[in-house]
Amino acid sequence: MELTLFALVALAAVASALMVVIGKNPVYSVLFLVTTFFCLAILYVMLGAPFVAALQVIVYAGAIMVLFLFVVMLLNLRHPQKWDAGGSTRRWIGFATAAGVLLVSLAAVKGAFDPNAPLQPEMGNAESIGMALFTRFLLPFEIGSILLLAAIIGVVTLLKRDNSKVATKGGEA
Amino acid sequence: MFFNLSDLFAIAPEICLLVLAAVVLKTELFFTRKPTALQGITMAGLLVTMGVTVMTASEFPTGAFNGMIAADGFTLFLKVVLLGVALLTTLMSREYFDDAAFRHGEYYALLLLTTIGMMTLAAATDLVTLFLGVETMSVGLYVLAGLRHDRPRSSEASLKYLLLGAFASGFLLYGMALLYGSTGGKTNFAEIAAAISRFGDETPKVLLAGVGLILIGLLFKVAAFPFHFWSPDVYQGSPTPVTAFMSAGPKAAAIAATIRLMGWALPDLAAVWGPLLWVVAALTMTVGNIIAISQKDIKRMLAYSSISHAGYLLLAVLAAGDQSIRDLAASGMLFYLAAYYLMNLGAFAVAILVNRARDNGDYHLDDYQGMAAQKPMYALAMTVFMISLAGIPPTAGFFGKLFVFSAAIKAGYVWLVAIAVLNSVVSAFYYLRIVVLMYMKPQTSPAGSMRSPATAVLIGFCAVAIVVLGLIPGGIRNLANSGGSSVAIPPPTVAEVSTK
Amino acid sequence: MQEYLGILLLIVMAGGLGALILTLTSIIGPKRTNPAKELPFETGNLPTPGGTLQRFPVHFYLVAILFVVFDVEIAFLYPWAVIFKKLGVFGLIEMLVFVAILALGLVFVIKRGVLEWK
Repeated sequence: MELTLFALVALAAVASALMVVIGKNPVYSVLFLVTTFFCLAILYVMLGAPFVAALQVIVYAGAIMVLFLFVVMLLNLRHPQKWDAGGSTRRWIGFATAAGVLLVSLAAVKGAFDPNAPLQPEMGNAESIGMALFTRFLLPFEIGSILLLAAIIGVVTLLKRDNSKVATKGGEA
Repeated sequence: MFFNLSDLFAIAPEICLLVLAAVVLKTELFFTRKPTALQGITMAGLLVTMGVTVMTASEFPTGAFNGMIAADGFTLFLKVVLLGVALLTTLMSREYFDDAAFRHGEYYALLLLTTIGMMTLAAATDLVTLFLGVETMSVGLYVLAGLRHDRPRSSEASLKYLLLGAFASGFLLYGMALLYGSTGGKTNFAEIAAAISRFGDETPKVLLAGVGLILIGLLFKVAAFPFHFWSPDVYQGSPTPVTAFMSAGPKAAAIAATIRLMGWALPDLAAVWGPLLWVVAALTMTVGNIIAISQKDIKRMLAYSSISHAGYLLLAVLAAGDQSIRDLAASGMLFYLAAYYLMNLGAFAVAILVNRARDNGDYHLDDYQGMAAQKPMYALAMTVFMISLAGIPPTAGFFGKLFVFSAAIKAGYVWLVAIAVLNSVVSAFYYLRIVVLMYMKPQTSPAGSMRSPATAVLIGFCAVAIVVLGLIPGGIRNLANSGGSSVAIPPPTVAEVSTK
Repeated sequence: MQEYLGILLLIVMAGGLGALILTLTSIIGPKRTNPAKELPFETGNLPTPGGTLQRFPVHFYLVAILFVVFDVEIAFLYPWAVIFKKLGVFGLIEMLVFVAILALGLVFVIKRGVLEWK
């Protein structure tokens, strides 16, 4: 039962990830990416990490994908530029690199982890994550807010420009 | 107990910078948009922070915040250097960004938040803080690189840096995940080392793959070969004060994090990453120097030169793999970084002035022709920076190289040091070419005004500091030594302390 | 895994019901169509010329990215809320610092006029 479910979900994850790359319409690619994220969320649940699964859905499938969609929408889709992969040589180099990375990581991971290791039900729920986050990892937690603050200021600085010389007088606030 | 109030001393500089960033940001929003006022606040705040950093300096034998960050002499030295980088960048920024619509407050706030990221990175003794430091630093840098809305090159630099940087962060994170998984859930450097030493000779392959991926991520941040391709374009396209900041601060922070990670967490794997870094270091300095020779743009030339300096700095990382040499290697690196930021920021400041006088938007080397006749003081300062970058005495750059190379020889890397010395000779060619241009060639085009008091102060300060450090390196050398000795042996882990 | 069976059941039932209703209407429902009815419904206006593949103003993106940032903040708040009582006053201070730093960003965003739509 569990193995079948895993196989199904894993297959769906890989298949939709492939569709992300193969698809010609970027909007479809984004939607397939959502599917991949949902499949990953199910895998997290099966690994006994419901909180991580919830984050995967809320943050990735929810927020980040909205962002991706906006990026796609910002581009001029009606006159799509022909995708230039720089000829077939470069495409093959890319393919070979990806295949190489896959082989190396397979070789590295093979036999490294015990597939029969018992689930640790305490690992991935909100309570245990919170306990670690707010005690041992309290400094990284606070630095996280600084990272987010930098992101806020950064994106506003880059995207919200003053319109030419309106602000020359200074202190328009 | 997971928190002591005294832990706050360890992050006092960061707290100061955060408050300062908030003050600058709010001042611009609510009170004034005067560039001079905002720059004044930032510089005063940075000086106060420097004072606080030195005054709150206290040794935490086991690090602060459950071993998340270190609070030792090494970190202290780096924090002061990084604050110096931020201070000098602030000094040269106001006159560079003269566009009326430019929001100086946001710029300084981002600069300060980036500095917090660099400090976190330099102090990190845990994979989590290491990653957060890298990210906080990078997010700020991506934005800073793209601040010149009027120049497509600037946007290109920002986008390139963002895409490649995000990719490198992915490698870093993937590597950390593998390391975490294969050491049984350890993130603290010293705990990782303990877990690895338990493996004995049978190091799992996943762990090695993880180390490799982490190295890729970090080498990207220091712009080492073959992960250096972004740096010339990004350096060229970014606003020049940002380029100066970028070439000094993040490089220092990332190389410091590398030396600590390699020395504290992965000393048992030195046989694995040693040869790898050997090749990377040799290629980094050689490739950087050789390509630098053919550059016509001073920003690109300094970008390639900073790649080669990353190669010299990797020598220190290599030497630090040997625990008996680690204090020497680390102290050599600290001295080198202190010298490097002075000469690099100084050189970029001169580049800003020369570019201003020409007012044609590019940074062509020919602009330096005959500069000595018209601006003897600036030409003299530039000569000092170039001589120091080349590593010729009596300058700080010479002693930086001397200390790093001698540590590397003690660790047995004679051939690599030979390559490095050869490289220094090659680099002297393109550094001194600028000196030749300034002193021996007639002026081609009429130079405009180079009046820019703040930048002039900066150039003077850097030049004098480099010469003083080159004549009497003792004081800083002693500080660097005490910093170096503090990373020699990783502190006991929290778990070890609590079992006692 | 057992406790997720209900969720699975819910997904199957909700999806099944939707499919069932759609199939039934297409089979049973009367089909009377005219060209105006076939137009995409855009609140009574004429459909956007040139289809839906329009370029969006960058302002949308700005709001979206701010949404992501504060969404991540929520992700941190959730585990905190679960163990809020266990953490006590210390946890409260921790979270206050975190939220205060982000509030700096929020004030900045509002004051800078990012949320105003011109």
